[in-house]
Amino acid sequence: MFKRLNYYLFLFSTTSRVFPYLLILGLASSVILVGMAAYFFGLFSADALLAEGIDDALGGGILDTLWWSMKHILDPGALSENYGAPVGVIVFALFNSIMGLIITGALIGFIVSAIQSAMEDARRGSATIRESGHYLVLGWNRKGIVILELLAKLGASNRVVILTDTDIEQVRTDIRQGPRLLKQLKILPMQGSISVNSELRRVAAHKSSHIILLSELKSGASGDLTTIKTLTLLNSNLFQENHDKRPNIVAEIVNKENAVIAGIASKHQHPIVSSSDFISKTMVQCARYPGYAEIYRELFASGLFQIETSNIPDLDGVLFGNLAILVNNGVVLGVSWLDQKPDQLARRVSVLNPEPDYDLTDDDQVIVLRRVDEPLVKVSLDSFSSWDEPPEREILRPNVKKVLILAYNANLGLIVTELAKHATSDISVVVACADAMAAEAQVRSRYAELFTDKLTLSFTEFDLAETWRLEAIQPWEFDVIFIIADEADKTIDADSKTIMLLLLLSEIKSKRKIAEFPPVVAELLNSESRQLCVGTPLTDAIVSTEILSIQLAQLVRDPFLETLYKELLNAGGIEIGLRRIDHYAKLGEPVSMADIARSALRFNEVTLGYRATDAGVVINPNKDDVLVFNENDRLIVLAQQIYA
Amino acid sequence: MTKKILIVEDNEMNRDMLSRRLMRKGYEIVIAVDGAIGLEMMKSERPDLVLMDMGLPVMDGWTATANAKADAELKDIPIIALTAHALEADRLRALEAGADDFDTKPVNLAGLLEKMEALLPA
Repeated sequence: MFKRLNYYLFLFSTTSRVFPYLLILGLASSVILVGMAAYFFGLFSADALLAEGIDDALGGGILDTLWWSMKHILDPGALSENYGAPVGVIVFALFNSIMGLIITGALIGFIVSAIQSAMEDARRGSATIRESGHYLVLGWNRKGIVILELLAKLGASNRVVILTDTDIEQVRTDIRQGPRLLKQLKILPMQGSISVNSELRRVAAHKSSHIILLSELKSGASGDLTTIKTLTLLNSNLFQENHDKRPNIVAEIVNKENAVIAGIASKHQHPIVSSSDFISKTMVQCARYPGYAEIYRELFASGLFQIETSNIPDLDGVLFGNLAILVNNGVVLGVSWLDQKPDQLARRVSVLNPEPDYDLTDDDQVIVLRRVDEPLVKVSLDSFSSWDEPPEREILRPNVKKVLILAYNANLGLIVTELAKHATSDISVVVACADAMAAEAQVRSRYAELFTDKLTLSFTEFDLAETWRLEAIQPWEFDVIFIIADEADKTIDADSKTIMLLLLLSEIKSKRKIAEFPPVVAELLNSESRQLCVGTPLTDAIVSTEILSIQLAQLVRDPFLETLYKELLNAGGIEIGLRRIDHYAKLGEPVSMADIARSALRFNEVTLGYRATDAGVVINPNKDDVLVFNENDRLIVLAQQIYA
Repeated sequence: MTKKILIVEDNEMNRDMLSRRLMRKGYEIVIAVDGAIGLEMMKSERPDLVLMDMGLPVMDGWTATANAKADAELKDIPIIALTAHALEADRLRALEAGADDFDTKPVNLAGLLEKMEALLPA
């Protein structure tokens, strides 16, 4: 009997959260009933009524008895007020007071324990989120902090919930050590698996407005599989019930090969960012246009600009070129329309940099780059000088033929593939890395198609223990030098290795007194490492975590930008280019940006801004700005890639 | 009668813009995204003219053009080569592959329409 009772106690206390409180209530009721038995031992006798704590105000009936018994449980001090009452009454009063102490103590214990448990849940991140319209970051890696910083810069006011398998204390430490800007955000880190349906519901994924899927730090190589599984869950009917407004979702995929499957998992409704593909393409763009990384950062990560589609009235018949030069404080980048074919779903089409003679219609929207929170205004016609068209000049296009790649990682094959896509003639790539034979074998097995007559890809042994080998390679003879993040050697972190290579190149440059050293494009993992590269021949630092985070944070807010990002980096489409100013205006003479923008249209180019030796990169200058350019300044344009 | 134009182009933006502009001029447009599909569609769609990008995946535009011109069934379909490679050598290479004419990207629509009209059957 006792064992069975014990079992029921165990059963109910483990399966019911209210059982302890019911038990206390039951116990208290029983003790009150026992205490009420004092009535039969002279509770309201004449002697008893002399005591301070006993009275028969309601006629000495059941209510007075109940009150007397109850107050001894809840108030231990009531015992002393029975002084002078009969012994039997005192015994009952004593019993009730002692039991009252036990019951009250147990009740306080349960309440404290429940509060502690709730706080522990919150600390471990296992509480349930009661939010809607929040940002949700699923997974955690180095990009997490940069994404949060960008969301803060972009003025996100919603709460940000993070769900990750990573140790929650690590996430909290990352946030605490992150930039001060993060204090603007209300961040709730939660512990849990991102690919479990109940966990996604716990963080109210179905009610969130934006979801960013990051590759989990802990998952390693299988991170993409977790991301794909989560995408499948988020796109399942199970998850989208009763919610008209579906969240914007963007997902990071590490290996380019997995991006196709991720696209299928997301039903091709959400942007998928392949980090390896994106980094490789960005590095090659930097090789083609040294200084590209800085422009990219200013354009997309400064938080100063936004790209949007807008409806402009009375567009019918207006030529794109005419519209492009008429906005004073914005850049008209392209056009967008809804492509509605019979028996097909309507598709939103976005095209950058259409031909200037493209005649707009009323169903066209224009894609505009503008300053945040600044309405667009028309340029004054006074900003245009009388049309003095500069003579036709042949614009020199980048043509990278001889490439040196220092270090090795899994992205090497993608970088070489991208270089080959842009090549207009035979191209030679030398890879100098440790364990060159193994690296070559890996590239040959994965990228057999690269080994053609048009591309010479050779591998040579080099590591930091034999620095003399670098000089023997004659790096100054190449068109561009890439340094990729080498994470294979665990004894030295990738950024330190990159910085050492840059210092070696610096030494070679000064020792040999080489004035025209080739551009050096380096991949860094940490943005703070950039400061350590000052004084080296580095022309472009691709901070992979930063550049990917920029893209993820932008795409989750404006998914339509996916087409634009892809276009700007792919071979054979529209690109951001740097041009000599003398192709557009006379050097050393005042010229308005309006005149330059008009001049650029001759080459089918949209002017994004300029890079001046004194002012650095300036995006979206007002067209009525009048400037004097010198030989080293460059115009930043959006242009069709032309290989000549 | 509406003339049918096959655009063989892998770049989505170039494809979308060119097809929109040509549709507005009254042409019927069909699309292929690489050289191999382009060849198949020349057979299945029987276009009046082909605008062939040269730098294509799977099968490049030069090979697709040469194959089309070597095929008795397709050789009479006029092909205008389109390329971002503005070198004279590229123009010659396209013409050697059998292209009937050549234009560089970005296209000047008026110029391209002239070339198309000259090659399209009456």
